[in-house]
Amino acid sequence: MVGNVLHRKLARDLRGGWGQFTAAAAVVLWATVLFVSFQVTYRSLLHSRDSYYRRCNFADFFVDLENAPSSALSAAQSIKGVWRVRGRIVKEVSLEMEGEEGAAVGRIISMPRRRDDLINDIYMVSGSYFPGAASEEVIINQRFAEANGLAVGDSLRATINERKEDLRIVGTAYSPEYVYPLRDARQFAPDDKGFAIIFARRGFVEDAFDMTNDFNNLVGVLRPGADVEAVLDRAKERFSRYGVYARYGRARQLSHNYLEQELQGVKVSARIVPAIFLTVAAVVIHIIMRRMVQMQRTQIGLLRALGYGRLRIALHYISYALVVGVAAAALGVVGGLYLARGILAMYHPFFRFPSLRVQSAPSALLLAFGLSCGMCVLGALRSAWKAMRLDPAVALRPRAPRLERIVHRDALAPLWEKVPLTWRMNARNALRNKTRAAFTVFGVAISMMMLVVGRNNMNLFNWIVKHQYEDVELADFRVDFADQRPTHSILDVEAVAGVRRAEGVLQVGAELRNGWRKKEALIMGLPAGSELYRVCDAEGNRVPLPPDGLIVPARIADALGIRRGQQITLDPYLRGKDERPAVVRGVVKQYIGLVVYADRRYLSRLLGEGDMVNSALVDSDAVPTQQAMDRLDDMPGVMAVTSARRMLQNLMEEMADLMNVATLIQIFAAAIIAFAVIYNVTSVNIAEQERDLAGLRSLGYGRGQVADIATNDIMPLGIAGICLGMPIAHMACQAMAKAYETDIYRLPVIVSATSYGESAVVVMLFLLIARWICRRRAERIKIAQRLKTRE
Amino acid sequence: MSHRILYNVRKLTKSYLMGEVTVHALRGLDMEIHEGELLVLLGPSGSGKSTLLNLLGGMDSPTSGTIELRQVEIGGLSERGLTAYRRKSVGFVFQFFNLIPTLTARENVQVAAQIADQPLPVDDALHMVGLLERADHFPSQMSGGEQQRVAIARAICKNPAVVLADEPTGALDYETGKLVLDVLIDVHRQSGKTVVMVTHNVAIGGIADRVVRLRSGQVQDVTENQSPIEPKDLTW
Repeated sequence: MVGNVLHRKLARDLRGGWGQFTAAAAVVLWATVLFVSFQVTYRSLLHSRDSYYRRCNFADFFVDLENAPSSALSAAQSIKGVWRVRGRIVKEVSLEMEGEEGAAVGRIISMPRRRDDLINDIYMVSGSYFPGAASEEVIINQRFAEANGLAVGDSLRATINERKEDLRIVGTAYSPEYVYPLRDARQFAPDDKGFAIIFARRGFVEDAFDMTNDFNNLVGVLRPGADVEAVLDRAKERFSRYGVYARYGRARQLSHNYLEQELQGVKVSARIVPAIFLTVAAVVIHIIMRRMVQMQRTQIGLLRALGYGRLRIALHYISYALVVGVAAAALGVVGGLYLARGILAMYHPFFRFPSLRVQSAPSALLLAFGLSCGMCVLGALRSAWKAMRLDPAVALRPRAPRLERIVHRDALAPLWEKVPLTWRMNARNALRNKTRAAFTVFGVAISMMMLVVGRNNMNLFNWIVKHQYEDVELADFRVDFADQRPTHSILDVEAVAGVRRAEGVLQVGAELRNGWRKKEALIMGLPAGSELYRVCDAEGNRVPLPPDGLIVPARIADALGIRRGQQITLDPYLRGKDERPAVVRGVVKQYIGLVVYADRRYLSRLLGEGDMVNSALVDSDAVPTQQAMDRLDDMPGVMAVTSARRMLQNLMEEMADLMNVATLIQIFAAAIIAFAVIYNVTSVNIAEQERDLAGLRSLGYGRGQVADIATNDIMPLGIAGICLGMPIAHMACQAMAKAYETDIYRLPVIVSATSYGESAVVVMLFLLIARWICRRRAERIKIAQRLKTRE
Repeated sequence: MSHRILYNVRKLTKSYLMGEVTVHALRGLDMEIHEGELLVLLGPSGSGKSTLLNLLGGMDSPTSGTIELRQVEIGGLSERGLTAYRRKSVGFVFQFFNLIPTLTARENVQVAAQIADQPLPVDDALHMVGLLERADHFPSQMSGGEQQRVAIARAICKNPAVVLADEPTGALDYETGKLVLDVLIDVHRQSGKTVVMVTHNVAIGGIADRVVRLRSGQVQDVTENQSPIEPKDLTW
C-alpha cells in the first residue's frame, strides 16, 4: 500500500516533468538503438561470413603460379600443417558486352566435375552446376549477372587466347573469394559491370589455355594450429621452379581483407558511439534528478518524518531513472533490430552473402538493455544518495541561501559595468552552476564533433576519389597485354583511331623484404615524365621518378621499417627471376592501394630485361572513347581494356544512397544530443530562476524580454561548444584515420573548412530551435502565484 | 476635504479555478484610492486583499468590473498593455522580497530603473532606504530587513504612480518589520507617492491615512485615520 503511494507520486512527477524525462529518454533510446544495431550488424555479418566460409570451404592460403603440373599438388599436400589443397586454373579474358559499356574483364576459374567438399566452392543462386554436355557452359557471379542483366540461357562472348568464344550461362553463383569482388589491389570498390567471375569446366579451361593437367593457382586448407606463413614459405620453396607470383594467407586475400576492415569498423563504432550517448544520458539524468531532489526537499523531510527509511527514499529517486532507462532501452532494442535490418540491406551493394539475415543475438540485446538501464541509474545515484542523507529536521527547514562573493572593484569593473544587467544575471548564473554550463558547452561540442566527423568522412571519401582520378590517374582507360612486350607495341596502341596518347607501363607483383619484415606490392614502372599517371606526395606535388631506385608509399616503408636511401630485397613474382636488391629513393604518402613506383627503364633493367611493357595507359579523344576501347579490345595480345572513369561512376552511384542515409543518421544523432542537453539544462535553469523571472515581469518586463533573459545563455554557451567542438572533432578525425588505417588505405587527416562550416551551421540551427522551445517554456511563467510563495 | 481619485474600482469580481473548485475571490467590490494617501487593505486570509492588489498592479485581469487609474481603464488591458502599465505606473513590494539573487542590491534597483520612463537616480533610491553603503552586496549577504528595503528602493526608483506592498512585514520579525514600515513611510512622505499596503495585521492599520477592511471579497468598512501614528509606536 505504502509502495503504491510512492509509485503514484513517481508517475505524477514523471508526468509533470515529461519534457525533460522525454529528452533524457530520447538519448537513452538512441544509445540503445545504435548499440543494438551495430552489435547485431556486426554479429550478423560475422555469422553470415563464417557460415558462408564454412559451407564453401573457403581456403586458408593462396599461391599464384606461372604454371605447374597436377602431379606437383602432392608436394603442396605434404607440407606440414596443410590439410587439403586444390589446384585451379585462373585466367583473365576480355568480354564483349552489349550497349555502351563495351568490354569487361572476366576472370575464368576452373571447376571440377564433382564439387564434393570442394575448397573455395561456389553457392548457386540460379541455374545448375554444369547440367549439359557442352564444354562452353559457364556459371557467372551473381553480381555481374545482375549488373548486366544477364540470366541463365544468355551467352557471353569472350576473347580467349585470341579466339572468340561464346560461353553459355547455365547458372549464377556467389563465391566466398569474391564477397567484395576486386580485380586487384589498385581497385578499392567493386566494378560489377566491368568485372566478371566466370566458373567454367576444368576441361574447357585446360583446352582454352593449353594447360592440360596443369594449374596456376593453388588454394589450400590448413590443419588447426598450423602457421600460415611457414606453410607459404615452404610452398614457395617447393614451387619456385614453377614460378611463384604471389602467395598469401586468408588475412591478405583482398575480399576477406576488406570485409574484415568493415567488421572491425562496425565493432569499434558499436563501442564508441553508444558510449558517448550513454554518458550524455547519465549526465542529463543527473541534472534532472539533482533539481528534483532540491525541489522536493521538504517532501523528503516529510516522508522521513513519517517514518520512511533512507533506503526506501533512495530507491524512490533511483526508480525515476530506472523507469526512463527501462522504457527507453526496451524501445531501443526493438528500434535497434529494425535499424540493423536496414543497415544490413545497405551492405547488399558492397558485400554479398548467400544469406545475410539479422542475428538477434540475445546476449547483445541483454547487454544493451542492461547497460542503458545501468547508465541511467548511475546518473541518479548521486541525487539518490543526497536524498537518503537528508535528515528530516534539516530537510523541513528552508534551505540556507547560497553565499555570494562580494563584487570586486578591480580593473575589470568598468568593463563589467557596461554589461547589461540581464546578461550579468546570465553570467553569474553560469558561474554559480559551472558544471551545468560546462556540460552544455561539452554537449554541444559532442554534437558538433559528431557532425564534423560524419561530414568529414564523406568529404574525405570524395577527396580521395577526386585526388586519385584527377591528380594521379589521368588515363581514360588501361589496356592490359597478355604478356610482356617491347615498348614499340605502344605505337600500335597510339595508332588506333580515337587514341590521343598512350604510355607503356610495366607492372610486376613482388615481395619486398627488409630483414624479417616483408610486404607484397605491385611495382609500377612508369615512363619518365608520365602524363597519364602522376606520382604525388601528400601535398599533391609531383614527385619525379628516380632513374635508379624505387618510390615507396609510407605505409609500406613503415611496415618494412625502411627509410629513403636504404636498400631492400625485391622478390619479383616472375618465373625464373630471383630476389635482387633495390634502393628506396623516396617515400610518398599514398591513400589507396599498395603500389610502389619506379622508372620503367630502371625496373626493366632491374629485372634483367630490355625496356618492356605489359600494359598501356590511354588518353582518348572525348567522343569516340567507346569505339577506341572496342578497337583496342580487338587488338591481338590485348587481354583487357578497363575504364577507371566507369569504375568511379559506379562507385559514386552506389555510395550516394549510403551516404545520404549515413548523413541523416548523423544529423539526427547530433540533434538528439544537442537538444537533450540544452533543453534539460535550460529547463532546470528556468525552474530555478522562475521566481526571479516572475519578479522581472512584475517590474514591467514583457514576456518576450523575460524569455530572452531565461534563454540568453544558450547561444554564447552553444557557440563556445561549437568552438570547443572543432579541436575535439579534429582529434576525433585523427583518431579515426588512425583506427581505420589499414593495409589497403590510409585516410588523410584533412578536416576541410567546409566540414567545420556546414556542421557549425547545423548546430546553430539546433541551438535556435532549442532556444525557441525553451523560450516558450519561460513565457508560460505565472507571475502572481510564483511571487506569493516562499522560496 | 476633497481628494483627487487615483484608482476608481467598480463592481470588481475575480473568480479563478483551483483544481476543480471555482473560487470567488472578489465579489462586486467598489472602492476608491486617493492620490498621495497611505492606504492599508486589511482583512483575514481569503478576504481577497492580495487578489485586489494583484489586479491593481496589473498582474492579473478581472473577471468583470472596472479599474480606472486616473480615469484610464486598466482592467481590460491586453498582456502587452498590462506589461507597459506595470512598467510605468506601479512599484511592487512583496512579502518574500523577490530580489534577484544573482544581482547586487544596486543592480536589483537598476534592473527596475532601466526600463522606467523617468526613473529616480538609483543611488538616491538606495540612499532613501539607507542602504547606499551596502549597494554592492548580493541579497544572500543581507538580512531580511535589508532585502526588503532594497525591494522598497526598487519599487520607488521607477517613480511610479503607486507603490503596492503585499504583506511587506510578513516575513520579518517584529523589530525589523517596524523598521521596514518606517522606511516605507519615510519614502511615502519624501516622494509623495500613493502607497497601498496589504496586511492581515490590524495594528499596522494605525499608520495609514485610511484603512479599508475586506471580507469575503467585498469592502466591509472604510475608516479614516485622523491622526496616524509612527511605526515605532506600533505594538502587536
